[in-house]
Amino acid sequence: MNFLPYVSGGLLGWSLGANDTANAFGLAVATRTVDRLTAVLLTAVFAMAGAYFGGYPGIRNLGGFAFAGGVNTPMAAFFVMLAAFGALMILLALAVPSSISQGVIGAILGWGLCMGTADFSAAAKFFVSWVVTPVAGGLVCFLLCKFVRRFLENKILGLGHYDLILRIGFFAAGIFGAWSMGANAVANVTGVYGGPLGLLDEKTAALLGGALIALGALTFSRRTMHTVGSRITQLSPLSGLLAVCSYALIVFLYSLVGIPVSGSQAVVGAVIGAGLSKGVGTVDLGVLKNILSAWAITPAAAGGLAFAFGHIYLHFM
Amino acid sequence: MFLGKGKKVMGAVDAHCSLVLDCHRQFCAFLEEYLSDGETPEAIRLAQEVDGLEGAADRKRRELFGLFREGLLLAQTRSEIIRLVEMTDDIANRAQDVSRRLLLEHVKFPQELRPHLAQIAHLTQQQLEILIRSIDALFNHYEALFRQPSPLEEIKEYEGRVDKEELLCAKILFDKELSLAEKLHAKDFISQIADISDQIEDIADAMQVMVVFRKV
Repeated sequence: MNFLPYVSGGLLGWSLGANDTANAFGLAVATRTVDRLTAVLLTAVFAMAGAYFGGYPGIRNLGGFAFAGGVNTPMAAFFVMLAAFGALMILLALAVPSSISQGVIGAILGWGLCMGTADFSAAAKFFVSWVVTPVAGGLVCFLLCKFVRRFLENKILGLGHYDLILRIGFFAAGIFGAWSMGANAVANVTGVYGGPLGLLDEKTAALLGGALIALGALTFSRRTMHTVGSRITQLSPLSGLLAVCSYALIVFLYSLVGIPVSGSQAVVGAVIGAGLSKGVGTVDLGVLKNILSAWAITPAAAGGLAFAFGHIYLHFM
Repeated sequence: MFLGKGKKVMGAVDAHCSLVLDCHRQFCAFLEEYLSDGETPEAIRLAQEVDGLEGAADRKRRELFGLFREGLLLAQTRSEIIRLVEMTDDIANRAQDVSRRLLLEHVKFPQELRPHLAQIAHLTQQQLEILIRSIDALFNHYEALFRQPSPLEEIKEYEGRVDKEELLCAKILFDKELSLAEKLHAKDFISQIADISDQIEDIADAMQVMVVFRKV
């Protein structure tokens, strides 16, 4: 069996696990509610479970989109995933915010442009999701904060009760977040191999993708857990918990419709939503700039690389 | 509402608060005895009781910190409770310090000052009782701290009354025909006795911050 086509997908899956899984337990680790080792283990287990039990809509959807866009051979799959991974590594080295899901879409479109098979209208649903994700994250968190403040906050009895709520809440939200991330993001890792291309059947694609994400989480996410968590410690612990819940819900809903989205942007949106729920009128322009740059630069960089690889493929292979 | 081992923390904080309250109550009794009859055997006995209760509060405080080594409660909550307990313990420390120094330095207060000093101690004792009830509410129902009449606001009102008594004491003292050294010596003690009320108000402020931090 030729393993080369899977290498680039494997690298992408590992990096996804290393970077994105911290969204689920990052704040719990930063507030020392959950220790890092427990967080990493829970993330790996539930991301893999989410991928295996909930990743099929995304695998089918992205796999179909990729195949129709010209990713119809094993080497095409290899180059497209390599382009996505390569672009992400370049942007990481340049400290430019990026998104794996947006990179994969950009790479598929870039490949398609080279092959003459790019379908931007079919990509419209992904473009829409890029905008909707942070907005929905913000809206859900805004509403959750308002609801809790109005109806539930005065039912918190005291320090001990508050502690208990946070402990249970962070565990539950973290598990839900890890599950949702696995179910949603597995399509980025093995979607191009599954679907009509048929290099992997759906179950194997889900299992392998989930395993790669889990591997990334187990080997590298401990370092990113704290960094990601500190992003949301500007909120009170309870607001932070509601932001994690919002992120998990949005990503879960997108996994049901089979559209891989950026978990980090959902978290950013949720944090903004929590701030706005307090009547804080200002939004950090730097944060908005990061989201906008990810929308533009990530797919452009991945698309450019994929286009270049496409030329190499057409003329030299 | 604490579960399991958290109840041990609650119990230890309760016990510490009771010891601090008893320590200050004994301090008030000592001050009353000292102001009326000077350094009597009864005053010395009461000062020793203040010592004993301060020591017991210290031991209870250390026992509580030992519980935290077991990793109970969230890190943020632990550090806040530790700070709260240390600030409360300082009340007992101050009471002990004043009672010891009064006996060591043989301070003589003018007759006109004595009822006001007794009033400062009495108001501070009442203020402390409200604080202890507030600490209990913090653990069991912290919304009650903000319902009218708010105990935290009451604590601030008492501090305001103590401030007025302190100012009155200073006025009476400096109007007396005493040497500057005697006036300053007595004034120092008046400030120390009144500072206990300030400490209680600071604790109330810290509790307010703890609750506000936990809002959504």
